[in-house]
Amino acid sequence: MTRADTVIGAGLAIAFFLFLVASTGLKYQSEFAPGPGFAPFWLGIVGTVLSATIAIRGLRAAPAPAFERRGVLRVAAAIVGLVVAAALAERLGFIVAMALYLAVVTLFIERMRPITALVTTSGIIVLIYVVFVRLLAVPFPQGPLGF
Amino acid sequence: MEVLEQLGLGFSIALTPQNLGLAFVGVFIGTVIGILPGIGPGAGVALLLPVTFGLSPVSGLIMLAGIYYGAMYGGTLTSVLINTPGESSSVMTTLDGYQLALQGRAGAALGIAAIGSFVAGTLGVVALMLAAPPIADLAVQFGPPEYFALAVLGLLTLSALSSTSMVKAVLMAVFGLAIATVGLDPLVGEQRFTFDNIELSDGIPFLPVAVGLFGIAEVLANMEIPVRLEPIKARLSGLMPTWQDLIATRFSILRGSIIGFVVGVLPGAGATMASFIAYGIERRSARDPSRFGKGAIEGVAAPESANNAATAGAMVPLLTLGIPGSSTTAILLGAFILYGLRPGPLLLSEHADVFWGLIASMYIGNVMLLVLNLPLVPVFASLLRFPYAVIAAGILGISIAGVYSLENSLFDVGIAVAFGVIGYAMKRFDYPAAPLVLALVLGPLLERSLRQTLTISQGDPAIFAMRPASAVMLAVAAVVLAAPLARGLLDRSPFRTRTRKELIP
Repeated sequence: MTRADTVIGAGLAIAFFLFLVASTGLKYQSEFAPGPGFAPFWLGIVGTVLSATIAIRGLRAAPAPAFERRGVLRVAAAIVGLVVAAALAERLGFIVAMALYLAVVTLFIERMRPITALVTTSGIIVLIYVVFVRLLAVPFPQGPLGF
Repeated sequence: MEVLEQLGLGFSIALTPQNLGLAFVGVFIGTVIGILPGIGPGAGVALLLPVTFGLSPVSGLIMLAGIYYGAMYGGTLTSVLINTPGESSSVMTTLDGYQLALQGRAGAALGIAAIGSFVAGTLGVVALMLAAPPIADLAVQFGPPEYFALAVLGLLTLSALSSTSMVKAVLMAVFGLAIATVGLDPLVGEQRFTFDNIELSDGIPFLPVAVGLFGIAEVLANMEIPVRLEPIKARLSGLMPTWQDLIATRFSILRGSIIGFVVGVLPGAGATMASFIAYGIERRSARDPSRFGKGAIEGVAAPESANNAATAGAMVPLLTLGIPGSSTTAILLGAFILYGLRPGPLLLSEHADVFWGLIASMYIGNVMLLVLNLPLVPVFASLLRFPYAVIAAGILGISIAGVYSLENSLFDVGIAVAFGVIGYAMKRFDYPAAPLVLALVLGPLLERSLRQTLTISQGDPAIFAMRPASAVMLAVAAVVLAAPLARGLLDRSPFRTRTRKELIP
């Protein structure tokens, strides 16, 4: 446990409490049996209690280990890149969006040399194309380039 | 006799050129996955599951099972050569394996691990073959109360073993169960938490969650703190252990095989616990326990045998009861469901070809692993010099393409990314992913069996105590849940504190 668990526990307690409130909109009891709201109701209660326990325990714990700033920035960039690539997949084409994303990851996040980044990106894209498009005939969204 | 006839049917399926090739591809990829850091058997099976969709169910399962037990051996290599376990089940191997490598005996350590894995894997499959039919016959008599109790026991055992904090582990299981309630209600078909989104009416799909938690999250975690692998320069030629090594480890391998299979069968226990117990027993039963941790070859043989036998053991509850005992078998259960099969007591009678074909392929796969691992260890070891950045990019690309290919849906990709981020935070703050995945898979079964039980008993929960099997399983689950609490209270008691102070000045 660290003090970060207080924040996480509090966040989860709120989420589970909202889940509990939402579950009250479902029938707790059907005619002869527990209804669709039965399990969510009890899961909401147990989840809220456990999350609150973690939040309280975290108050007495040591501080969380410090983030490595550059590392966190790399992670954030990779996540944002993934979201952007998924959003652009229908416009640019899935394969093109993935190629651009992997180029960004290898060049700017993993800081590979340009030639290594190019070879890595091309290799992975060719693998995806052969396995998923050629062998499995997955209909990826296509963009202006036909990929 | 009937078992042998059925096994013959299994071999006739597993020995077709296509299935032989797929078993080889599975164990080869599995070994590579076990070696590569940041990707375990669960991630490997989840990432490659979409690739098997063009195959028949039995062929796909043969390949996925090959990945599973191949990865178990692959993790040994990193334990011995870089003192870093590829999988949690190889943690104990680092203790003596790395010491042996430092003494110039890496070849012997890897060789004995390969032989131990082969013997244990084969014995495990024999035990699986003999144990599964009677358990399936027994399980036919199970009703909703027993299934509920079994699922609860599996979830709690896995939670107890997968984290240092039971509260965090159980919370993750509850999180998984909560996610499993999204979509159509399993009994009356009412929409729950779908917010009028048609994509959510089928529920949160399991595979994108697994790929996010085990694949994408692992890559993100390794991006924050880059992985640097520095394998020791060990002589790997001459992998055959000496005659003395084989004599010294014969009972270690046998004990590890038995412990591994038995522990693997237990819901939630799995290969990691099996290897810990096998190592502990080996050290305790040794004439000179002080050799352990300093390069005892038995310290490699026992846990490696145990973790391979456990993979066969873990197949028993999966195939006969439809209850997975670990995150990897949970993903395998997901694979069965995606192929339109339902593991459980009826699998043996309704899909004997799948059951026996899989068993036969496991015999063949174990031989393949031995043949692969003895001569090709230097080749596999060279993978450790492969830049992790390339592997990371590959995992990301295949994860996203694989998840999309499931339903041709970008919504699934969004789920995988979201759970990649959640999984990264979970790793960062020590919240285990295995209970979440298992709960997501078991959620519908758990809820359905609970509600059916309460319907049968007209709302009286005493029914769980009146049925002997469910009563025993729930009592064990209660002990599993209470044990950490009792330990915590005991640690805080004045007597215990005083005794400790007396013992440790």
